[in-house]
Amino acid sequence: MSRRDGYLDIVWSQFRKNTAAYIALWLLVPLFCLAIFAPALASSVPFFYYDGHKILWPWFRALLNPEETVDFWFNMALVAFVPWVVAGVIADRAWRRRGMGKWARMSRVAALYICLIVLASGMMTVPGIRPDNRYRARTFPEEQFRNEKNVVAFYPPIPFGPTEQDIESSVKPPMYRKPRFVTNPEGQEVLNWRKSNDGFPHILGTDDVGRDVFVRMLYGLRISLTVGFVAVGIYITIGVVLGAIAGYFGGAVDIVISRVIEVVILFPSFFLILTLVGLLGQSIYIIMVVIGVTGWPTIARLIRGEVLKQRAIDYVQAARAMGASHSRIIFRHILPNAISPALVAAPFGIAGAIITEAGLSLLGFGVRLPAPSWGLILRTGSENYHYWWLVVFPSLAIFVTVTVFNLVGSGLRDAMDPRLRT
Amino acid sequence: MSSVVEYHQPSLASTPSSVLSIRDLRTYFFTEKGVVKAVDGVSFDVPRARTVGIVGESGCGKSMTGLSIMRLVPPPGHIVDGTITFHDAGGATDLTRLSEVEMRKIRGAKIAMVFQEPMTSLNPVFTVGSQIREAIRLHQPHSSTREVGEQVVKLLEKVGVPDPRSRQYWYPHQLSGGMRQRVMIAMALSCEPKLLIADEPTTALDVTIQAQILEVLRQLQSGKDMAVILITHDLGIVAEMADEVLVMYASRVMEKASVRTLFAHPLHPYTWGLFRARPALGMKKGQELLTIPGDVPDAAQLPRGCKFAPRCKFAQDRCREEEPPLRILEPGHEVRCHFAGELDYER
Amino acid sequence: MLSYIVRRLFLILPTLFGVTVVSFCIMQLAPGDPLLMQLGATGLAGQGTQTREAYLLQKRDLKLDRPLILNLRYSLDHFQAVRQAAHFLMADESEIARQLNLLAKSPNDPENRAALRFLRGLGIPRFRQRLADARERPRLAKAVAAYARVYCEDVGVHGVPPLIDLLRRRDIDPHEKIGVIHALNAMVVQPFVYTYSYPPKDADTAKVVGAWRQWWRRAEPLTRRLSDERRAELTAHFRGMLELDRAALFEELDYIDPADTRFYIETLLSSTSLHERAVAAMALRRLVRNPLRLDVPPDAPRELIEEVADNWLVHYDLNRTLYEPPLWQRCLYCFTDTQYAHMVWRLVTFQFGRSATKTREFVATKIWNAVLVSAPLMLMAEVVIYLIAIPAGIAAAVYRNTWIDRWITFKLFLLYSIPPFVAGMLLLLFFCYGDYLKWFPMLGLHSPNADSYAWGRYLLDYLWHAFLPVVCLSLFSLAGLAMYSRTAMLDVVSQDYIRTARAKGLSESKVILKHALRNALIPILTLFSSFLPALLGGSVLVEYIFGIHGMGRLSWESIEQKDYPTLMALIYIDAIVVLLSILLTDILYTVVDPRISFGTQDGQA
Repeated sequence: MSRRDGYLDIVWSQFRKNTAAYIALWLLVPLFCLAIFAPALASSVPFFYYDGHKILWPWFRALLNPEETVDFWFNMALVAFVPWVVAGVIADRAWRRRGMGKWARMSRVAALYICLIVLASGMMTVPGIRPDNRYRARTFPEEQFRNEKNVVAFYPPIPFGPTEQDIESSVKPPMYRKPRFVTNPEGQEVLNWRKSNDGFPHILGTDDVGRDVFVRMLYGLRISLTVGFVAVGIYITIGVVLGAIAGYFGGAVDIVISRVIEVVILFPSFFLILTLVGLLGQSIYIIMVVIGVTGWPTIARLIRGEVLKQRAIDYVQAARAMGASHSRIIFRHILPNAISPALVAAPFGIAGAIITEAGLSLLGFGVRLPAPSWGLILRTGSENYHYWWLVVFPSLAIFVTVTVFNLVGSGLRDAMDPRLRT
Repeated sequence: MSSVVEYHQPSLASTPSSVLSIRDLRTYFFTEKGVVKAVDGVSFDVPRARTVGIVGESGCGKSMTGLSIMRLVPPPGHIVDGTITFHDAGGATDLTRLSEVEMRKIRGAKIAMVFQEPMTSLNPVFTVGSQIREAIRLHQPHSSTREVGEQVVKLLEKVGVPDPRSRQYWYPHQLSGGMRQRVMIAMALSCEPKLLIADEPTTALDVTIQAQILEVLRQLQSGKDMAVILITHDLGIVAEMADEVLVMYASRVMEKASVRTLFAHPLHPYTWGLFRARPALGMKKGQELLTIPGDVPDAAQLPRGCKFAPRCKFAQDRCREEEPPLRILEPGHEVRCHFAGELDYER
Repeated sequence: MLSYIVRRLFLILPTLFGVTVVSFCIMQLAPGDPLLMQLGATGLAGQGTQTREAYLLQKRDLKLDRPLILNLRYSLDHFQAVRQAAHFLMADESEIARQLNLLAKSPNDPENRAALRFLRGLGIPRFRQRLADARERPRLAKAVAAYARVYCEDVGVHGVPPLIDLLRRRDIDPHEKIGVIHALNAMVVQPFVYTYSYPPKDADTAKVVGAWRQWWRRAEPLTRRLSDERRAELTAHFRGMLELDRAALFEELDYIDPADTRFYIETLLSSTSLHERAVAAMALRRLVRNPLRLDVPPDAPRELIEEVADNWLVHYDLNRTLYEPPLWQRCLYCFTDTQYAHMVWRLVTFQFGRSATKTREFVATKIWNAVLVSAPLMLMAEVVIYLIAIPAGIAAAVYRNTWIDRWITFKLFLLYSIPPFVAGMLLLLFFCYGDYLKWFPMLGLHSPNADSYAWGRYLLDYLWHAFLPVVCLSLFSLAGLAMYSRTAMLDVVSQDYIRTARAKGLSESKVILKHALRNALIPILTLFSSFLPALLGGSVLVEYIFGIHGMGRLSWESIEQKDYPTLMALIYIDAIVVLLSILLTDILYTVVDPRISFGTQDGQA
């Protein structure tokens, strides 16, 4: 164990020297926080709503009944966040007292978070525990607000939802503020707002049906991150397992797997993904699976080569002589030494998957409206280039996210490159 | 250091009979970790048509000395101080002061170098003939294609490559290590340099091939006005080839003498250790080889006093505090040790 | 060298096999029947015989009625199944519904059991539940009729022999015979061949003559006899017709008289010359629109049924080899007469057929036109990429850790993070749409009236249009290639032989451009394998954004329109091109790097 810790320490110290990569790694934290806390930042339903008779908590109910399944996972992450911080700090203290290493503690705290998310989502699927969402309507209390004067509602800072339409304020430029009163044809001043704080500016403007671009980008981040991480998780798993098997066993197994790798690599990846998504149907899950299924050969190839190298080294022979099973040799002895190319490929892969998802959505093969996706905003923008904010901001978001992941990737590559270490 | 009046400082003036005089050469590497002094105040002369051997363990700065003479120190290294005076028909020139363009005219033409790794020192994508031809063309731009071709064949023949007429069209990977080293030597000698720096020319080769290559070198040197700096860690080769010997340790010259003197009575404990560490003929089976304990120190973290003190079994407090200067104990025998000549090695 | 190439080509075979397997899987992944989708909802219901016929022909054309990978239909007994199918085809919906009620009531009745087995095998969705539900049964009856028809179409020739046996039986009631005839019509498309194919082949004679003889048996008593003068006149005229070329013949055939039918049929039956028979058959086809009845209405009289049955028997006898092939052929068909085998054959012989869109263009033409659009564009982009990226990478490597290196690497890194479509949209936004600058045109590769330009202006117009797409196409790959060549160069620059070159006294430029570059190009060369595929493949997104109808756009459109023949062809061609360029790169490799000889390069590919 200590030897592997040592290796991670070396990688970490190398990584820290690369300032840009180091900053990018820390930028991932706000990125994830934005994705997780998106509903707390922007939502079309109020935290708290008082109509003169009854107090309602629509936000919390909406949190547990999101429109998209992707949102459900992130909402669970939001629900589990506070218990995690508390439990994490306590557990970390205890483990530190027991003298556990830094990396072991970190991975356990991360695992704790995932356990909490799974636990929360498991609980919420049990009927009876999850409160039914009676406020599914996108514009939650709009009628009441127009009719009653004594309504009190507290919204999140940005009072717009990702799929909330408002035809009256369609394609408005950034910082557009909806006027409170408008003059109707009869010359009377009438209330124009639907909600108590509808006057909050649309920071990055609105799209063709009046959805707030900033909020959509915020929720789109969730989709992008999910696609990136899940797709890459799938293909790294497949690639590592198949590559290790091919490299370790050699012979016929190797020949077969290598041929399969060769065949899949022959097909141009974006075209193949497009075809499969076009044939199988458009859903974010199919996109993730398809990117995962088409991406594994490069990883498998890298791992195969690395395993072949490791297999020739004496310690594998020694492990075999001691009677270790094949799976034990592969997963305990060889893979920890051979996995670095896959780890280096991961951040680049995530960036690539984010680009692919945006591209698919731009072509109309990605997630379907009204789900928020950067590619879909770009698609709206591509229909009329006069609405520049529909092009510039999603482009910027893609660029920044991709840069962050690429920076982390290149930092990791430099840190793990054995040629730079002596 | 005024208390040691009897110590003679080595003369800093260059002698005209030498082809190369190095004075106080310092080559430092400016890395992230700090300044690494690869060559630190080395001075010696290379007499005309003689061979100077530089001996030392790996990492002691002997190769860097060679590369400094060629001005081929890889970045982030620089020659920070000292003079390298090269004497030829045109008079003396300080190589450290030459511009890159002027230096290029000297490289290959007047000072040539043979490297340690014949496997990687030849460009794999050009034929050996074309690589030699390139060197000749560069320094004799007026000779015709046919002349150059003849010269290549002659050179290859001279260094002992069989069937040179067809071998010149071979690629390096088709040749054995010994053959490649011969090609390297042919390339170095193509312009009849005044000085040849041979950096471990035989280290990567089999013992039998080593002898052949050394023989080639010796033959080529004889009858020509060419001095050789032979960089090696093998005392046997030095004994065989060199006239003068420098023993280097931790970027410094530890002992300097003629071969005969040095082998007869080494004065520095390090030199003595080197001799003791060699297996000799007539050693009894089971008899222990005496090694020098410890490792070559990291060039970035050298001890304060004598650099050899941590490994020296005669070291005293003075050695750990104060670095000894290089002093002349006998004519032509210089040693960097406080107690040189006073030590009893057989104790 | 030749043997090396041959061996490499041999190694390609398993890969090619894999490519066909993947293509086949993709084809099978398609939900629903691609052809049906395109024909619309009317297809399955069987309305509109014209579309139905076209659908069937296309389906047979693409061999989509065959089993997937193993064809055992010749060795299976289809008797019970086709009898049931015939039964359900004949019955109208209310009758089927009545029968379904019976089936649901007593499923274990031996008679019903056969029917149930057949119905279950049809693959009607949720059959059991729907059968159990009384309200669902009328709708189910409709589905049964449609699926029985599809079953007959799919079984095709294999169902014919048992049905013919049924027709031959005397003990079968005429009502069932109608069903059998319906089924036969579903199984066999265009049963009788009345004219020769062009150019005429002797092999068709038996079928053509047999068909007309069958017709003549019934038609002879009804046909007018000819006088000798008229006969002589007609013989002379027929001689003249034999001399005409095809187009003129067609024209001449419009003027022949229906009263002279007897002459032509006698000529066809008695003549020995292939050409004469062919012309006679064509003439007959003009005169007799529907020679043989093959279909019957549900309430047909007994004689009509017998007549049609007789026609079918003749058809069967004429095509016996098709329906009852010899044993060895049956064994062969097990593997060759399958969807997969036919697809492989089409792919290997590059017969992509027609596209499945409304226009029914040839796939090959479609692809060629698209390549003509995108290849020059990609070529320009590739040239730009190579011209900028390699020098940039080398410069960065040579001036390692200086500001030049940092600047280049930084710029490359930024470029590497901008996806081409994002770059494209931003460029369009800022340079085309006039809100900021209006330097470049918005869409397409030519101005609307470019065809009338002189060639110089035409070229300039093209370059003006192509500028932004080329920039977009270059950006991303440029960064990748430059980074790659930087690493390659860095590897080389630290090699010993570079030091040797310097020690020779070579100038720095010569060291880099001669000694280092030549070695650094070797790893860069591996990237060359993506050159040709990129050239032919185009870029889906960039072409979409800039409205260019190249290869990328074509692939996008064919996916969107579910144009499977085109899609298959595109995927296959892409894979083949990649395969070939990898091969080409390997060969180039051996040419450039003297260390790799043709013999020792096995495992590295």
